[in-house]
Amino acid sequence: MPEQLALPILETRAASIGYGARLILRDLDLSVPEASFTVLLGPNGCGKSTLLRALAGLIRPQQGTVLINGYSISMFPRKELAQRIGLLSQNQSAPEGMTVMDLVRQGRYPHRTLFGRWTKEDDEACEEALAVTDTADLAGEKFDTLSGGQRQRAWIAMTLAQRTSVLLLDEPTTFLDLSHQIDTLRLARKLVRERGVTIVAVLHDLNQAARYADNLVLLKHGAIVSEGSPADVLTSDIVKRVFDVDVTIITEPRTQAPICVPVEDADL
Amino acid sequence: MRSVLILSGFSVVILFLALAIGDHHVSIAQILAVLTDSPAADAQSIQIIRDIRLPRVILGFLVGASLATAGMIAQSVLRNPLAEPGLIGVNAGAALAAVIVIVRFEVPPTHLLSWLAFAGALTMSLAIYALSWNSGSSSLRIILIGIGLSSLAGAGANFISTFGNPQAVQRAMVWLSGSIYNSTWDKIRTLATWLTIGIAGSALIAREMDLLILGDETARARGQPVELIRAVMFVLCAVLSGAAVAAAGLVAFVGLIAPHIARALVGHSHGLMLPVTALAGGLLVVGADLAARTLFTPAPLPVGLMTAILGAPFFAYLMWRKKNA
Ligand SMILES: Nc1ncnc2c1ncn2[C@@H]1O[C@H](COP(=O)(O)OP(=O)(O)O)[C@@H](O)[C@H]1O
Ligand SMILES: [Mg+2]
Repeated sequence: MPEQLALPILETRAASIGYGARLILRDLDLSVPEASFTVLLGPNGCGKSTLLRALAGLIRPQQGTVLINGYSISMFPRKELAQRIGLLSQNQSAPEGMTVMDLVRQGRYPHRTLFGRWTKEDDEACEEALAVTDTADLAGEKFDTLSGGQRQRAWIAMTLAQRTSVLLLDEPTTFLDLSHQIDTLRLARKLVRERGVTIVAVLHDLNQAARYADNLVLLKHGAIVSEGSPADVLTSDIVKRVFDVDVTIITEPRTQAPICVPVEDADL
Repeated sequence: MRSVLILSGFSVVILFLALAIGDHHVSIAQILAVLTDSPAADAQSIQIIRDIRLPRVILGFLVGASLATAGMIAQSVLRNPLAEPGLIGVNAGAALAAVIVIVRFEVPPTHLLSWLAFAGALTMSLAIYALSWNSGSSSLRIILIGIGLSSLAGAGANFISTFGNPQAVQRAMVWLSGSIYNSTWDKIRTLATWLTIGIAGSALIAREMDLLILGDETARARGQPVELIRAVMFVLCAVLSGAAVAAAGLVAFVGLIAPHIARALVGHSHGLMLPVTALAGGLLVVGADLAARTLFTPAPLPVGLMTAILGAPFFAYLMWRKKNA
């Protein structure tokens, strides 16, 4: 498994993470290899968003540590962390009259000083983010006139404008039509391959995850059930354990990617 | 940008009208003569303009600008387009503190009044902040808490009034309904000082507000010290609404409407919104006061009632337009 040889850029070590007294993730050991595409999968409420928040340094583990490049994340000032790690949160909302461009420009926040001027680099980052998310035409549109998918792409653009080496994407494909879902996954893979960006994303579609990701991490009740390459992880046994669904696994002939197909009683 | 020029032109017209119209009309030529200290000004015009109308117009404008800016900050920090210091209890806190002063003193000292009003507004802001703290301060929760605290402070003001002497209570009641008829240069200087602090502070954190309105998690993930910025915003809001309430009592709706006008004209960037909001707020109060003292003679309405009368339909129009956009 070549991915295991790459240096971990993000790690959790014996991390217990939660809100107040309530622990959501217990004793979690995870390492995310640099320049890879990792997908978190698991049932609703199993702690995927919580894990991303901890990886972004937004919530501090109650026990254990989260490391970036081997250093504890809590050692970094927030802004410096935000220059390295970009997080696209799950349920986003922007004020109605705000334009897409207004939103995307906010992604430059960590790169600006209190009174620093807007630079050419800021402009370039925003334009590129708009172009790769297919939102350049929408730049001047107000949020209340956009569809759910367009809004989602604007938020992705904002996160990309931050130009971080680590991207944490919480359900980036939700609300998108199939073609934009695939565009987003292709973009993720392209950023990983061409720019060495490290991406951790939450997805719900097992087959899309298997097709595009380098690593899968399957979570249930705040613990990792299985992690590794799609072919290793996606077995009918593990899918049953995590999602409580009976599936048959078939192999896509050209790419060898595993595909899950639900089994109905009638099939048996 | 053209709409901003139109708004500025409109301001000049309203300001001149407010100086010209009254029980005794003053011509534009005389107004200009008084304002430029020219020998052509006659004694009566000098007295009317300099001692009565000019202070009134300036104070009204500053009150409006303060309330409007406070409203902009409140709407942004609570991420709620309906939030204004009047609704969330900040003004009521200032008013409670001011009523105590008014009922106790024959002639309330201007400085003491505005400091106490600020203290009242700040206490209220802190109470809202503290009570809504542990659940991550969701907007709805803050507003519900604000409404509760607001009624509490209102009840407090009434309670204190019950035990004051009737004259003092009457003074407090007139003042509570929002009026600028007894404007003095002393009040103007005090309010101008507070307003300068409030506007300068808002200008400094304009860019921070642009990010904060996207939500705590989004802001924090971009590296913003969210709690610090929010605390600064609460203080600025208290500074501005406390000063406005100390100067003119409760003037409704300005803090709600002016930011909406600004957003419609220049969009969501706080750096652009700030001057337009302040200008629109100032105009609203001067215009409302002009209407209140001309349309309803010989018994002029307090400007606070007038802004409510003018403001409500305008707000309805905003809602209607949004629905039909
Ligand atoms: N801000 C929060 N405060 C308290 N509990 C939370 C918060 N966010 C999520 N939770 C709880 O943590 C658990 C895991 O949530 P989450 O990480 O969002 O799951 P997922 O993203 O896998 O659906 C849920 O039971 C949820 O109720
Ligand atoms: Mg989630």
